[in-house]
Amino acid sequence: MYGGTAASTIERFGARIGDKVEVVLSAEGSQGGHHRREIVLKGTLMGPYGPAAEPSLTIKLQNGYNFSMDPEGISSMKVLERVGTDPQARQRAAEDPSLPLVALIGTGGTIASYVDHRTGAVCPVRSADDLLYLLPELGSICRLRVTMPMSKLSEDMTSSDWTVMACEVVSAFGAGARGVVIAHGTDTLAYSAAALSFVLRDLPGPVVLTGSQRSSDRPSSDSFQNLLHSVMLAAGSDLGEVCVLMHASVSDGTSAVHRGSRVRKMHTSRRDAFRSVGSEPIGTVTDGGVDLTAPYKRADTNTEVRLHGKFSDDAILIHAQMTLDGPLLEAISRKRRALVLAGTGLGHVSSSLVPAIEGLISKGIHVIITSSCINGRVNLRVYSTGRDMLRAGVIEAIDMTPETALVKTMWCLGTLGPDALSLDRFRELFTSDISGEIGDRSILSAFPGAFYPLDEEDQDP
Amino acid sequence: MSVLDELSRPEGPDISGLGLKVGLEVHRQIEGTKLFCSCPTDLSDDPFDTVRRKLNITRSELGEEDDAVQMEVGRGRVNTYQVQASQCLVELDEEPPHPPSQGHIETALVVAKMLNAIVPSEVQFMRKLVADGSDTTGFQRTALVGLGGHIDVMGLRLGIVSVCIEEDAARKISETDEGPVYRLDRLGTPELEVTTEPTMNDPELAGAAARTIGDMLRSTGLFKRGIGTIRQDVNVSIEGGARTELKLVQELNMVPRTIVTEAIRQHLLIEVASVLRERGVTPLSIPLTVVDVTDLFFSTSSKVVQNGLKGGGRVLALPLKGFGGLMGERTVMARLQGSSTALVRKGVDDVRRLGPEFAYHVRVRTGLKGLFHSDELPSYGITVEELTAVQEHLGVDPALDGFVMVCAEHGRAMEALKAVHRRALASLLGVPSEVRRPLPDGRSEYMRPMPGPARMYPETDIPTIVITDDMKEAARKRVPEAPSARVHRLAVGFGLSEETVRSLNNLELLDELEGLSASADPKLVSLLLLQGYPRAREKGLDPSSLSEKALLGTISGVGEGLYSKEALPSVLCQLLTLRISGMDEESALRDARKACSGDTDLGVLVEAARKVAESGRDIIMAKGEGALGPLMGPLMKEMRGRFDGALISSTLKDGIRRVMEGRD
Repeated sequence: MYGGTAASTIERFGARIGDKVEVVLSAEGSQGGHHRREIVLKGTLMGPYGPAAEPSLTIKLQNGYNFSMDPEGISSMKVLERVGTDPQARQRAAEDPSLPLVALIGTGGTIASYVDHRTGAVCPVRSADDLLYLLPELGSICRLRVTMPMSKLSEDMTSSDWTVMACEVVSAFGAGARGVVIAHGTDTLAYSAAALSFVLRDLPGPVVLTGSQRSSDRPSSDSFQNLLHSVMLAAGSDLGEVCVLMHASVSDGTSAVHRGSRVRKMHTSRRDAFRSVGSEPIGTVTDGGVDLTAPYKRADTNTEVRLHGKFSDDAILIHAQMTLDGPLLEAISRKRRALVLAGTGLGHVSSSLVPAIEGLISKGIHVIITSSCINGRVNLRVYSTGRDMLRAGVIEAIDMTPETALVKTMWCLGTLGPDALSLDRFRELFTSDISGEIGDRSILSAFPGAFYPLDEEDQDP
Repeated sequence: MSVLDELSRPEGPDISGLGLKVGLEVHRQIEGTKLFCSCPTDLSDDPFDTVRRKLNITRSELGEEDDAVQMEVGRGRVNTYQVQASQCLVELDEEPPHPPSQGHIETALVVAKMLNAIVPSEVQFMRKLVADGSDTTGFQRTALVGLGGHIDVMGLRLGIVSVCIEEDAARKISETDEGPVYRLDRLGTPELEVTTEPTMNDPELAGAAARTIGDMLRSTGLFKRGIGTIRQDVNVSIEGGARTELKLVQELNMVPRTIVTEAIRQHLLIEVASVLRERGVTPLSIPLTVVDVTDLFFSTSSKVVQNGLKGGGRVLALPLKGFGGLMGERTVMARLQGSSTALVRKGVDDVRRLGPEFAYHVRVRTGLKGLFHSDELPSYGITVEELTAVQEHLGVDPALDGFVMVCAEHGRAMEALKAVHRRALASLLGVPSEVRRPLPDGRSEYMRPMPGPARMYPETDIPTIVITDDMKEAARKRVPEAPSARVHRLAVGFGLSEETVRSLNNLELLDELEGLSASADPKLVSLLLLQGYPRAREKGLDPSSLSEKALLGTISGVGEGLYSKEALPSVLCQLLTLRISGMDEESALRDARKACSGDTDLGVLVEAARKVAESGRDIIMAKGEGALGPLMGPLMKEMRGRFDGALISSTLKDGIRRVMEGRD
């Protein structure tokens, strides 16, 4: 709502936001200075937009433009037409009972949205009806059920939200869903995907997390394809894993299916920001169908899905770099049960930090080493600092991404409970492959963006 | 008899009685970087990658029924974008827009001030939905920076509705079966749009107004120049008609003609509606009853139909009761009704009416290029017997009724006739409000329905820009001298005729005149600009690529006695040709001056011709005057660019004769 002079001006003339109004605005004349002239504007009174401290009042002119003016300049305002209600009621088409049931779980932000042509306001999709109206194709693929257990920006998500999502998935399968799609903000989507892949195993169908990199209020948004392809994957594949589906390239057409524990957001804004790290994507989806090319776990329709383990927040992920010293490391690790360090290169930290790490481990704090290189395998046996770190008792995160290593640490702590105090018990669970997050081979093609293999003519003579 | 008939004169139709109302939207590109990123705005032929995208626009977002049709067309189509090294993720809609360049906003404020418009307290960018894929986002970003205002044209005061700053769309390269192909070099180029009140009743006045606004913008020195950097959309309506927007009239001198043609088109459509009313045609009397008449064409000799059938196509027909004679020219109606057509007023009686409109709608909707309507048959190899057979099969009266026929794959043909039917229904109401594309001959074709205000919503990626008093004051200070005042000042100051300076103004060369005249004789400068520039441009050369130093060096050759002032255009072209061949500017100038020096002295040519003739004595002895051909080459090689080809040839002929006559 407006405040200050804008609010009092609207009130004085008895107008409401959304009304069609006629405003007489007194403005500086063409000669400048003291000469004034009046101009009559007709349009729809809009809500406040832009910096809240500004006293401007905005109307949407008949030519569609929003015009902001200083309310002091308004000499009169006449209400021409009161704001009405939306006459466009959505008609829902009858469902085909032979189609598979797909559960769509909304977690926050907007799954999709459309523009209200009367007011120019952007309306988020809130129901299956809204979504079917926007993407009618969905109606011929499945019977869609939409729930919204939470409404959170993905940067605000916590580990308890992972549990809420996981429970929602369990009840969706319990209600007969063939597959589940989770719409999620992209910032922490990879964390949630990793988390779900640890607590949800032996699945009766696909659990597909998806989102959009370009806002859903633009006709070019990637959300439409991502949603459509996610639903296709959930409704029609025998995948029994948690996965992430997003654009495979900056072009529309192909979506990539990534293993939930192997995926990472690698760009702030591009549609193809999500990449599989250390492995190739499981497959692709196009309008033509689903094509899963890499080995994957098949869905087991006889299984009764349940939650495996839980999460503890007593872990933290930090980058090892030049300003991190012993006292700081100790301060950060206070009251934690585990520390995930993204080291340099093969996983190293400054040799000056090794005594502090040794101290933490002796206090029962587990220290897990990943690499800030993101791609590649941790190996602390090559150089002396690494060997010192191993001697101090650190655990190598093998080829997990730093985020997956953090989430897995949280899951190991939560799942083992008091047993997590044992370094051996912790190490045993942490270093065993739970959901495909660990690979024992590093293959050449699993490094996105690399120019390989070199063509002969590209090679230096 | 209509108003138009009464006012028709031998020199062309007089439309002053039609209640014409014209408004203009003048668009001009702002110089500098793109509006929402730091990329250059030059068009480019560099290599490119391609990105393919679809847009998702819903019916409610466009609001109107016709727009919804457009949306269906847009939906499912793949837009292909060519992206080059000079574009970034912003143009690709892979990255949020950067804040708009402060300089571009200032430019807009300067123009708002020049046009006496009111500036809003905050500038708010809006998204205007565009379904055709020419914006990667699916919308064009545009902001209102001035409201109201006025200019004076031909002694009249013309109201200004608005001044907007917006981003230009991507450049269309081609259209494929899959969808359109665009290049992103132009997308995001800042553009100012000035909209006038739709109050002009004289086509010439509209042309003059377009020129005046264009000149005012240019006088700021803040806008791009040259082909494609300025264009005007013209809004035309007549009494009883509807507003149509004619897009991208690039040539200013086409503006009046396009307006006249459009006014007549609207008048003829109003006339068509009244004839339909007289004949009792209502929406109920023209149902969508599509009839398959393929059987009547199995042994046709029409190549068009044969080809269509070969690909498994069908011939579908839509009867249109009461439309006989209304699709073709007025003369067709007279012929069908058996009256005389002695008087054919050019531009009125010979204008085809609903036929082209049907064809445009079919093409936009289905991509089909051809349809047949009864007013133009028999033709295209379709015989009078086939025409009669179709008429009998459809049960239509040849004198009063019409039909439209399409030969294509069944589904597509059906879609085409639906589009015709929709347009036929609209013709009962007269003139539909729509956006049209002007054709080179002054006519125009249907592009899309007129968009409503519905398709605008706020651009949430860009915070509003608060316009402070300081910004307004700074803009006021940058308002340049009015173009007419400048012409007068330069004419007096440089001792040139106002006529000359005005011509230079029309060529957009006043800055060059003022700049060069600071160090050279204004008369020589104006000669170079007025004659040299157009000649160079005709040859596809770009004089604006030269430095001031090179231009001054060209002019100074006259003072140094190297060549006459008449040679200036040749020197300029020579210089530019050498530059294009890859020579650096300094060497090119030196060689061009040298090549053209002696232009004043015919003796040089005579001497050269003599030497060539002398060296070719053997050939001359053998061939006589026939030696001209073989000897011309060497002489041309030496003298090309300095003398006219004909002069070189005649001088050589003289030389040859001298040798033959033994005078040397």
